[in-house]
Amino acid sequence: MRENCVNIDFLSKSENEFLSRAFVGSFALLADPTAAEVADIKTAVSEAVTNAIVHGYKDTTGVIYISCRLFGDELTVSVKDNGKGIDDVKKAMEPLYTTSKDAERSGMGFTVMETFMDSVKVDSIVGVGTKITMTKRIGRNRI
Amino acid sequence: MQIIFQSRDNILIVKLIGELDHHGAEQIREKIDNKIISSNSKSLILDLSELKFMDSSGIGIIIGRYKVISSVGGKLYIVCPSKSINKLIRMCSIEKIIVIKDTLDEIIETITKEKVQK
Repeated sequence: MRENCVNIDFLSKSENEFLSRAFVGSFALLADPTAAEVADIKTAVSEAVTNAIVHGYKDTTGVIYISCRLFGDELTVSVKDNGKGIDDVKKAMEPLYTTSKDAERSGMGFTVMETFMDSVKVDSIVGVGTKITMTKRIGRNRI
Repeated sequence: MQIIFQSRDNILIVKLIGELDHHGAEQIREKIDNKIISSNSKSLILDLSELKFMDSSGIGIIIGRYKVISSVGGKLYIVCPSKSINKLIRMCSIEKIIVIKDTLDEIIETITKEKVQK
């Protein structure tokens, strides 16, 4: 049974979004994913990291922690911030819901994560931070 | 994130190259809007054929430009051959309001036909 784990932490600067998804996408390669699966994983990670930057830390800068774990063919990625937290997680996860209407956010971040990954769990405490945990089984659709 | 503007028969073609995320979106939004206004074009093509990655920030860019070009009586078209980006675009049902084709030639043909019909 394959088992591996890597972690990365970085400042909540938007220029680091590229690095964060490249990091997780590269780690996922260990499980021999299809190109479509890598694209799905990178997109979901990008959404979670953008959430941490735009909503979690908003106008401040903090640290974002990513943890990736492979257990067999299942990838688990968690994206955590120590930002302001989400008051109403259920509402935040509704399609098209956005708190930053002026910045042209589509409000589809959580919907994308849920569509592109197998499961998405959001733990958030106001004033403490948010942790998004996503899983995806890799290679399931390989021909 | 690289952006190339091209004008052909009063059609403004905006080619996005690289990866479009929240960081890239911040960089290109104003540039595209300024070009829409200065070019006075009524047809805007967002060419995503050389875009390697896009997340929902790109959806925000598309919807935002749709609103800008619509406000001046124009129309937005998208070139998108990428399966993964198409998956995201269609998840948001963008194809219901914007014409999306695999190649630039197909879009130009569509615009030409629409002009003839008018």
